[in-house]
Amino acid sequence: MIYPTEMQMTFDDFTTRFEKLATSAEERDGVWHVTATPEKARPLLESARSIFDYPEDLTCADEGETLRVLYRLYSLTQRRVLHVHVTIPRIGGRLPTVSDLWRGLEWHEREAFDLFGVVFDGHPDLRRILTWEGFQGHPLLKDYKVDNEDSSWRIPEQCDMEIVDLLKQA
Amino acid sequence: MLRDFRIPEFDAPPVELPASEVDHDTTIVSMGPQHPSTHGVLRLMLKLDGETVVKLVPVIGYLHRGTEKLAESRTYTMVIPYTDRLDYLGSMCMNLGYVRAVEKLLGVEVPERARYLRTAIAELQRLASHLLWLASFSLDLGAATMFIYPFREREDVLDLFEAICGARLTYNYIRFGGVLADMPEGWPQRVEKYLKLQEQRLVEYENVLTGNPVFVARNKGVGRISGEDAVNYGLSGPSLRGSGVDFDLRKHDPCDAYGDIDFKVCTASEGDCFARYRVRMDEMRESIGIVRQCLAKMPEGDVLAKLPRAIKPPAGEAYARVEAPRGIFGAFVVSDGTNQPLRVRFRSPSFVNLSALNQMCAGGKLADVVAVLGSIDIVLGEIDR
Repeated sequence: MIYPTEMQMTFDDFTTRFEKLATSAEERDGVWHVTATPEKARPLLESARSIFDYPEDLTCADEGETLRVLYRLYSLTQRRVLHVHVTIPRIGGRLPTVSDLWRGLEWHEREAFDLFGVVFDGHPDLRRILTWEGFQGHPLLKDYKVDNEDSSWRIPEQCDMEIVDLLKQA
Repeated sequence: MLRDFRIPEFDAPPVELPASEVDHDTTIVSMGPQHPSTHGVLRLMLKLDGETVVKLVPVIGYLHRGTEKLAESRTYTMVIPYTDRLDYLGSMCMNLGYVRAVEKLLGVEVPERARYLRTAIAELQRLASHLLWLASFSLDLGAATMFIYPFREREDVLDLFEAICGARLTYNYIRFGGVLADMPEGWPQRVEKYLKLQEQRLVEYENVLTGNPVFVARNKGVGRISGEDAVNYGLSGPSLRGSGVDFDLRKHDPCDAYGDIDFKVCTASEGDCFARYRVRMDEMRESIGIVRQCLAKMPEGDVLAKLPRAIKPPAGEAYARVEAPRGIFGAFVVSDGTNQPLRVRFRSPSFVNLSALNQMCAGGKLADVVAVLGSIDIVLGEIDR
């Protein structure tokens, strides 16, 4: 069901719709917060896609024990923000990609992969984005050593081959 | 046709392709990172069929300074100067985004006068930023005279900023609970003098560019992106409004004094480079109006709320966003109750706008890539962070 602008969706409408997919839901400062398990994240986001058409942000926070992934979505018709929180393991966390639903999250997922090591299954081009190829580690994890003296990393001899491959396929 | 691909600066051995894989019709070209019209250190990898762009892959990260990681080992106040260095052409708006996120955590009330001052300053910053965009965009298209004109007026805005906070580029002016300092004596009169001049100069710019057949031919129908695609990519700012999508945070999620100010959201429906040019030119006129209204309505009072010296927000998280000159700038701050943030995240508009560059350029000509890149107005400082 697509809500036209004049039909404002209430928080109750929203929670009834996503009851089965979300672990918890609450409204804080006008923002709807929804928590989901990694398995239910993709179905939840898929069904939210029809209302929340504008991808605003995707980011993570290292909370010590676990890693929290935050999807921030906006609805241009409802003028409303939705936060979807998904908690995954700190190391080796995996989530299905949503870059096919919102193209704008493609680079954000790459960034989360680069800086936090989250692997997005099904992502079309999951490469490092802000650091260079051959970079070791994921800098925004809390246990990453900033003053690391180890300079064993090297730019691969045949760098850019991934990009060249990507271009060749086009 | 270039068959092997090599990057001289790394002295890599040339890539040997098996004869069956050699493509005689297309060429792979690396553009940048020292290309003059990439506005910084951006590299574009292009697959060309003759002069037509088949696919384009931006390579970023050359200016990555780890701002988000740095912020985790600094106190809340020490992070503000780092935000200046994100989008260094819209520093005031970067300050504002981060400061508003922390203010949300602190639950502090900003004095009325500071709210109006912030709005006026943010709009002056938008003017300065759009002027620099106009200059560099014109130069990209070969209009060297138009490179000089807007720079002359931008200088006036920087002088105004220097008078109010002492700095011309990295301000650190917007603080938790208000702004650093009140307006100096005679400042509103100087602003008005500048605005009057700017209004006339905008007409001059339009005389040079809007009717110029060369300028129009290089822009109309170039780098088109539909409104639907623009939303799907999450574009923001003039790049989104140039595709006919009516979304401006100043109107739809107003912060500071924007709610009390009368202005209109500028849009254009074509979604090409010319539409984005039109939106920015219209926005400059609106900005002039907003600054005037702010100065006229400015109430008396303090400009800085009383806060303890050591900022220690309660545990929790806050997300704030502002309409920066290039689009939606978001700041996400997670606090664990100490004097250092647990996590700071900056959502930069140019980062998202650049990700749609392939969509805008594919199928077009190589020479138009420069025009399209200029029209989305990127700043590498905030892309790479």
